Amino acid sequence: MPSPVVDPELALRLLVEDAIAQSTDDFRAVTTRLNDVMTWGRAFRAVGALDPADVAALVAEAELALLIRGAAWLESVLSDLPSITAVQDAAARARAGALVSVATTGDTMIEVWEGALSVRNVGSDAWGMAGAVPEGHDRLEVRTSTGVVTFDLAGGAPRRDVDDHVVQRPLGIVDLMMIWAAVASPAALAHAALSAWRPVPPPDFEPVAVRAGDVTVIAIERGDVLHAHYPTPPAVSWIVSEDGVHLVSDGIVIDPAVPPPPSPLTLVLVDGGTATEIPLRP
Amino acid sequence: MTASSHLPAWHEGLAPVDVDLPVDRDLHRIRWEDGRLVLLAHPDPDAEIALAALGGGRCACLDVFDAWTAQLDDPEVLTVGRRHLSEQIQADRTTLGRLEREATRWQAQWAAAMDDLRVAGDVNGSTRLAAVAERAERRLRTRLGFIRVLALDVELQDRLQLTVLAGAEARWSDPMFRERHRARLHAALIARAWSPLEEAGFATLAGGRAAIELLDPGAPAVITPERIALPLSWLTNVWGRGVALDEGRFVVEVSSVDDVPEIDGGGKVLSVRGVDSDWRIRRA
Repeated sequence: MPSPVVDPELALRLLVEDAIAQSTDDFRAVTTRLNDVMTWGRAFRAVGALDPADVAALVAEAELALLIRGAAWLESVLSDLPSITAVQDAAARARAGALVSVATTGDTMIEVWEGALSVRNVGSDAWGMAGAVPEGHDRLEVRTSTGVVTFDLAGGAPRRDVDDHVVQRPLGIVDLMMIWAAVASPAALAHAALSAWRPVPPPDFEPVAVRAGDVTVIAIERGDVLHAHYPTPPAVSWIVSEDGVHLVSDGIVIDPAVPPPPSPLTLVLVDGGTATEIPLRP
Repeated sequence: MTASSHLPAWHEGLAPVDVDLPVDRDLHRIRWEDGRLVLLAHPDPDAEIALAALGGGRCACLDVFDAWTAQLDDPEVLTVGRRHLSEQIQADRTTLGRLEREATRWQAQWAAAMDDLRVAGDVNGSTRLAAVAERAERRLRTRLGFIRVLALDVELQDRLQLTVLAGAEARWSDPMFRERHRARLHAALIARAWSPLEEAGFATLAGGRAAIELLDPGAPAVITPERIALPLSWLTNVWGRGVALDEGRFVVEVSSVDDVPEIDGGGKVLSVRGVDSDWRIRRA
């Protein structure tokens, strides 16, 4: 519970102080405190008491404060700069030309542009462009783990789960099935598509494809980042490996690096007091 | 005591801090002195920043300078920096190195995207991208500069905190500034005052630390078992000098004592007024 103060931002900041006061060796305690900050941040945000950007900035500050106090497992907060995503996004938009159509499936937003198709995982920075849209087709089916959208390009509108759309002219079809990860994980799609779009070495995926309950683990990328997709996020999750424990946040393992194969690796999920262990590498 | 006294300038009595920033294969010295950050290798940083914006080379010192200045408007160092002078915290240089490599990779990607647009003759696209990317790159540089400060020296971090706090005092009369930063500064005050208050026996305050009130800079502090209220200036005046606790008593104000001869061979004499105590003399 936040301290009994009227000012929501002050209440959140005092929760941050609690997190900082924890030993950074005790990652579970720190994680609990950070979760408190995020939970109450969401609550204050929902009632309009705080601006979403302010909550996000406060969490980022807290993470940096913990990082320089030794919480090395938070290192990705440094390299995961929002500005990088913003520029990638802007670059793609600038290349793609005019927006043709937009649709959403749960946590995924799909945009069709004159020259490309983009997929964004709402609530995280996962994002990607699928490259040029080939011509000669009148339907576009996009499958994600949370739904399917069919763009009737001749008719101009997505047929289901449509939040908003803007149609200017018909386009061809893109078969996203050619990117295997797209079926299950928009985040993996983002990486695959981005590597196709930019002349950079493609990510080295180590397929895992493990499912336990609501959790599907898609792949370990480059041996140091694990992508997991949670339709219903568990309360707490982390990775257990031979060299220690790594926090999982929003489906992406925080550095330091997950050990490369064949080191054993286990994903632990805790929800409602029940822990589920998923052996990713036995 | 018969000597007269006055509140010292916030930076009075604080020793200069010198740190060397690795730049390529060289070291560039950065100095904090009399409340200001000075880049010894760059006598006119503003001019160099302007030149760099036109396409010239840019030294990492300038990122540090930019980040330092940006903290005056967005003082996240108050959340990130240390609460107690005994706390040993410093960003890991290896981590910083990884971040710098990531930033370089990002900049290369952005440059490649710009090149593609230019080759394609997409003027509108490159203009739109440049507008967004330049803002993002500024943010990235500022972020890098801030983390460089965190990795350089913990005393420089402290000086940055104090510089930011002194800036906040100066801008406190601006209602927009107060509205934007009150909670952050209030939390910063609580985080730094609560531990010495506890040690001095004031932890029984009803409502706990959240009940500590933030007063305007220069306002008289109120310390009773029922109410604790401290001015924002307590942070620069007392905490910043490392004298929040003196002989087990919470210190509410530090003032310079005039006309008192130096004792023990030198050093400035400060008086320290403790809660429910007489004037105390303390060497700075």
